[in-house]
Order: sequence, then C-alpha cells, then structure tokens
Amino acid sequence: MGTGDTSSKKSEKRKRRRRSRSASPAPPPPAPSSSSQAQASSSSSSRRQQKQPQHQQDEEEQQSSGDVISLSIEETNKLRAKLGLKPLEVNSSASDPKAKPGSSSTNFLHAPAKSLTQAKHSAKVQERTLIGWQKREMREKLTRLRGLGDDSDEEDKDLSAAAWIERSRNLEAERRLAEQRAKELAELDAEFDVSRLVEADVASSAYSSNDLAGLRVAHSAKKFKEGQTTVLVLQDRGVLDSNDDDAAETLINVNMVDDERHAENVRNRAQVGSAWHAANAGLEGEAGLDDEDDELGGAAGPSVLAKYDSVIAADSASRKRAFVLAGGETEAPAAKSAAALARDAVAAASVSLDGPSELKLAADYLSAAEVAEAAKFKRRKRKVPKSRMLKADDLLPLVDDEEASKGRQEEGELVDEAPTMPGLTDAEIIEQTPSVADEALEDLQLLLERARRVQQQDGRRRPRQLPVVNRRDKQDQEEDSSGLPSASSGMVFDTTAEFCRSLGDASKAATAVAVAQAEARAAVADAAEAASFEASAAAADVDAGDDEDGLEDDYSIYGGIGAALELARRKGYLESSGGRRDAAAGSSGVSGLRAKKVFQEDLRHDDIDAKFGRRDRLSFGGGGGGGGVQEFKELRNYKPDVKLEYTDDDGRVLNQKDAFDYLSHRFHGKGSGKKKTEKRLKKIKEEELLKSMGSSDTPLGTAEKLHAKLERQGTAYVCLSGRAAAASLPSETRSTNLQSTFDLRFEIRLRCLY
Amino acid sequence: QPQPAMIEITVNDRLGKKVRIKCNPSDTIGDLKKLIAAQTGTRWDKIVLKKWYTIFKDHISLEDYEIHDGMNLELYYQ
Repeated sequence: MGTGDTSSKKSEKRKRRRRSRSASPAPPPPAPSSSSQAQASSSSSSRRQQKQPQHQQDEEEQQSSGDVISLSIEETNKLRAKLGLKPLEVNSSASDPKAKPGSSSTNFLHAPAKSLTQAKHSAKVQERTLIGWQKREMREKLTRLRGLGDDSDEEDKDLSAAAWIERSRNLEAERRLAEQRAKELAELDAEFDVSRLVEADVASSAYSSNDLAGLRVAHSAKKFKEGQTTVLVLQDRGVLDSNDDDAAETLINVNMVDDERHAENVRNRAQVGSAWHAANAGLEGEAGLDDEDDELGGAAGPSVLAKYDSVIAADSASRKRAFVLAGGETEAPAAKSAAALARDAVAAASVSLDGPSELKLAADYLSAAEVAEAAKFKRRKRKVPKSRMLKADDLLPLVDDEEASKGRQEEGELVDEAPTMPGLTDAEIIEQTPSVADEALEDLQLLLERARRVQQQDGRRRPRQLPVVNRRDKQDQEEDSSGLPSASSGMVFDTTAEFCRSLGDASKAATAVAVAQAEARAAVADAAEAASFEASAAAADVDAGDDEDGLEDDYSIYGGIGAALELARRKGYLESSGGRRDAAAGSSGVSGLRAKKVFQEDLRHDDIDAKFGRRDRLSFGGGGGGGGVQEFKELRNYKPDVKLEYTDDDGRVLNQKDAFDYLSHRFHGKGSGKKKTEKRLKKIKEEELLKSMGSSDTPLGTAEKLHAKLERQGTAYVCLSGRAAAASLPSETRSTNLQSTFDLRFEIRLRCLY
Repeated sequence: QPQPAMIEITVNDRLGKKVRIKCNPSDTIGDLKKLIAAQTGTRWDKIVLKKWYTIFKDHISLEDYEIHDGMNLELYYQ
C-alpha cells in the first residue's frame, strides 16, 4: 500500500484544517480544498503538475461522497495515549516473528506435507540395503564355516573306514585306562583310610530323617506331593516356651502358611459377603479343598455363630491339619480325593433299586380275596346313611325356617338364592362322617341332601308365594332371631330388579326437571310469549308424563290434536314457518291496511352539495327524516325473527358454506373448476338419492328390482351363479343414473337381476 | 508471513464517512472502535463493524480476524 508518504503529506495539510474544525464530522468547506488547489497551482505552473495533486486529491474525494478522514502517526499516538492504548509500532523493517510471541500469524508454521512418493522411495531403498546386508552376512558366514570336506583336507586325515575304526578303538582304550586308574586310586585310599574318614565326617554332620522324628509340621500331609521338595523352617517361638505338645517345635513352609492364611480370609469374607464370593471361594487356591467340614468335599453352609468361626476355629483347624514326623520315611497318607470321599458318602446313603424280585402282570379283574375286601367296604358304607336317615321330626325346623326366609324376600322379585337347610349344612355333614375316608361317598351324600331339600322346598313354595309375604314379616323375623344358623340373609339383589327400579327413579327425575324448566320460562317471558310457552309447557308435561316409563310413546294416545301436532312438528313433518304470528308491523289484519307514515327526503339529483355535503348521523346510510326522528310506535315490541335463507339456481336451500360459495362466484364472475363442480354435482345427486331413498329398500332399489325380475321370470328364485345365471343377462336397463354412481362390485353381483 | 508493525484500515460508512485508521495488528476491535469514534465523533459502543454479514466482536484482535493492511470494513451504527 503506497499511502505512506502521500497520506502523511495530505494528512499534514488536513492537520491544519483539522485544528480549525470542531469534532463534528462536517464535510470540509470547499474553500480549503480550493485553497489547496490554488497552492498546488501556484507551486507549479504547468498543467500536468496541477493535475497530479488535484487528481490525487480528487481520487480520494471521488472514492466516497465525503472526505477520507485519516490521522498521522503522531496524532494517532496521541489519541491512543489518551485512550490508554499502546502507541503504534512503527518499524520500517519487517519485524521478526520471534519478537511477537503469541501472534496468530507466527504461531503456526505449516510443515510441508509428507510426500508419499518420497516415503515409498525411501522405504524401498531401506529394504534393498537391508537385504544386501543380510546377504553379505550370509556369505561371510559361509566362508567362515568349514565343511566336512574342508576339515578332513586340512588335517590330512584318512577318509577310509579303517581310520574311523582306529579312532573308535582308541576311545575304548582310553576309557579302560581311566577305569584302571580309578581302581588304583581307590585301593590307595583304602590303604590309607582316607575314604573312611571322609565318609564318617559326612555321616556325622548329616541329619537323618530319624533326627526329625517328633517334630510337628503345621501343614496337612496332603499338600506334600511326591517328588516335590519343600523347604520347611522352624516356626517362631518364644524363647522360654516349654516343649509341650501345644508348643512343640513346628516346621512350617512360608508359602504354604501364606496360602492358608489367604484361604482363611477368603472363607471369612465369603461368609460375610455376597453369595458369589461364597460360591467362588472354592475356586481360589485351596480354600475349597481344605475344608474338611463337609463329607462330600463341598463348602459347609452357614452355621450358628458363623461370625466367630474365624476366631474359634483358627487354632483348632491348624492343629487338626498338622501331622507329626515319625522316624524314617514318613509316607504321606494316601489322601483320598474329594471325589472319592463323595462317592463313599453317596454309596452309604444309597438305596437299592432291586425291588421285588418277581414282576407279575396286573390282572384286570378282582381276585377272590379282593372281592372279599370290597365286600367289607360295602358293609361300612351302610353305616353312614343309617345314622343320618331323615325322619319326620327333622323336617319340623326346616318348615319354620323356610317360611322365615320367605318373609324376608321382597315383593315381586325373583328368588335366585340357593335354598339352605338349617339343620344340616354341608360342613356339618362332612364333620359327622369322619370314619369314612371315602370322598366320593361324601359327595354323593351331599348331592342327595341337596336334591331332597330342593324337592321339599319346591313342593311348598308355589302355593304360598303371595299371601305369606305381607303377614308373616315380623313374626318370622322374631323366629329368626331365636337363632338358626342360616347361610342366607333377607335382602336379595337382582340385576333385573335393580335396573327396573333405577328406571323409575330416572323418569321421576326427568319429569321434575322439565317442570322446573317450564316454570322458569313462565316467570321470565312476556305476556305474549308466555301464552305460547304455556302451550309448549303443556306439551312438555305430556311428554314428561310419557317419560315415566322411560319410553316415548305415541302422542296420539294421550292428549288431543295439539299433542299430535306437536309431535309432528318435532319430527319435522310440518314446516314451522307459519307458527308464530308477527306481532310486528301489522302485516295481517286491519292494522295492515292502515296508512303508514313514510319519511322521504327531497333530494335534488343534480345537487352535489346536497347529496354529499351534509352528512349527519341520521342521514348516513339511512336517509332519515329532517326533524326529530322518533321510533315507530307500532314497532316498539317488534322483535324480528331474522332467517336468512339462500337458494341456488335449482331452488335448493343452501347452507352457510354453500351460500358463501355462491356469493363469491357471483361476485368474482367465475365459478369453480371442473373437478370442484363435479364434486358438487355428485354431492347434490347423492343428497337427492338419500331423499328419495325408501325405508323399505336399499339405496340401489335391490328389493324392487328383485321383485320385478321375479315377475318377469315367473319363478320364485334367482340364480346368482352358474350356467343359469349366465343365461339371464341384462337385456336393457331402465334406470341408468343409479348404476353409474355406486359400487361396481355391487353392480356385478346384481347384474342378473336386471 | 510476518506481520507489519502497523496497519492502516479503511472504515467506510456508506453515508459519507470514510476513515483511515492506523493501528497495530494486536489491537482489539474494541480499541479500533474507540479510535474510529475519536475520529468520527460518535460513541464507540454505538459502532458496529461488519464485513458483509460478519460482525466483528469487540474482544478479538485484528490479527486474529486476519484483518490486514489496507482492508475495508463497513461501519454501521446500532
């Protein structure tokens, strides 16, 4: 950017201007620029010189609409000092990146990208050099090696077999010589008794296994396997401890002690911790194997005061495990494996499965002996009914209780309760026959009882139903209180009865509501309306009266023509347009013939001022009278019933949406598109069809068609499928408009009817 | 590329205000705004410096925005 010097020059010029100016950013007055121009022109007379500074100045001025504000370095520094900023760094030479640590441009020196070709090339070169080196090595090795041929050549040996035999013989001879020498030496030793001395020395210093007799080893014998050397050391003991059984010298192996301790800890932890640990305690080291609690070799379950096992059992366990060394060779006891122990235990507890030696086929028929047994059984059976045979006396309490239960029932309701006999409940029967273990007998007995009860009760119930109920209510209640155990209570709830009762309540409630409504309406309405409402209220009362049963009956049954008309109106058979009389504007009768006062303003059609000049609130939109305007006296009580009904071109009454559509079409001058109109027409058609639909027939008029077809055919049936159906194809269709609109499927099936 | 010691930035408000500011690349935008305010006469917190739709934030230095010598910035007011 070459604005360094020129800008400073211009800035100096502007400096002068700036001092005179205030801080407002006003565009410079033309005078100074012209003065500068004049200066320029005065300084150099030639046009070119004039043009250049002008051009330079103009350049800047032309770049923007106003002047380019710029300060010199000194001014900038002053400003910066005022603002509290560092002064500008002015270095003519480019500053080192090192001088400004942390600058974004100097932080990143992009490393050149790794060229893949270079990498490949270097890799190849490396490989080749490596291969070459290896080859060289191999060659050198080979040169260093001496083959068989080389050997023999160097030492000038014979390659013959004879030479080899000689060599082997020499070896033998040497061996013999060695043996001889050994013998001679031994004799010498024997002469001088040196060997004996040496042996004695050795013998005296060595401990034999006999010396170790009586020492305890604090590990179980199982752990010492054959062929394994284990180093045992004396266990630490107090100096003054006596050499009793309890505190005898014990040998321990350090590693084994650690293992045992670890196993103990794990076992203790397993007891305290989760079941997982307990399960896996056996997997860790010898914790499982060491356990001698369970015969089967598994871990023992939690025992009483299991928490203190670690304290109590520690010593005893260790003592149990220890064994004493005997003199000589101590053989490790043949340790039975856990599996073997388990097998022994299982075998001890097993049961022989031999069973009866003879196996016979079971016979289908009873043998003589079995028959005799069955006979014995039969005799026992008779005992039961004997004791419980019903007598006439037993029936007495039954009669009273039955009547009592009848009394408690409500009038006119069905009795669905299971009849109970007071004297004998089912439980009692069962209790009285403990001797017989046969359940089937008991069930049979129960069934018989129930059947007897039902019979007896049925015989008694029917004639007594109606009269008994009212009279014996209180008496029976007293009798009841005397206390016969009866399972059923007095009130019986039946779904049907409840429903009917609820219906009655509902209907009463409805009538109450209707009456209240009618009253409210009567209170509020005016005299004229009250009359009409009374009439409707009367009708409502009639309705309410009908609703007692919850059903809407025909009005023609009750009430007179008024009610019938009301019904008709309700059902929509009548148009209610002529129902109300207009109390208004006297359109009917004598009042309609009277002259009506009409106000009309005399307006001149050509007088613009009169038309549009005076616009007061009365003339606005309405065109009222000149003086005071009063309300219509006739219309004081006028409340118009506005019903805006719109019809379309065909005369159909339109709903709001359709009416609006019609209006907008007329307004905009265009209707809907093809599809929309089709849709609309379709809808209209469907509506008409609905209207023309008969209640006795389907929309397609299937029944009618069927009837017509049958007449034509002269038969009472129609073939829908098969060859006969194909024969009776439609010849000519009469009504085509229905065909086109509805389901094709339907059509196909009914084609035969046409 | 080593940064020059001092850079000169042109700030243009398209309504007739064009200012050339000398500053260090290590100055923040806030400092630049203060310098502009001193020269144009507005308040520095009313100034918004933009380049197209990028609004320059006050706490970031010019060299971080990679605003070099001779660049044009747009001056708006908030």
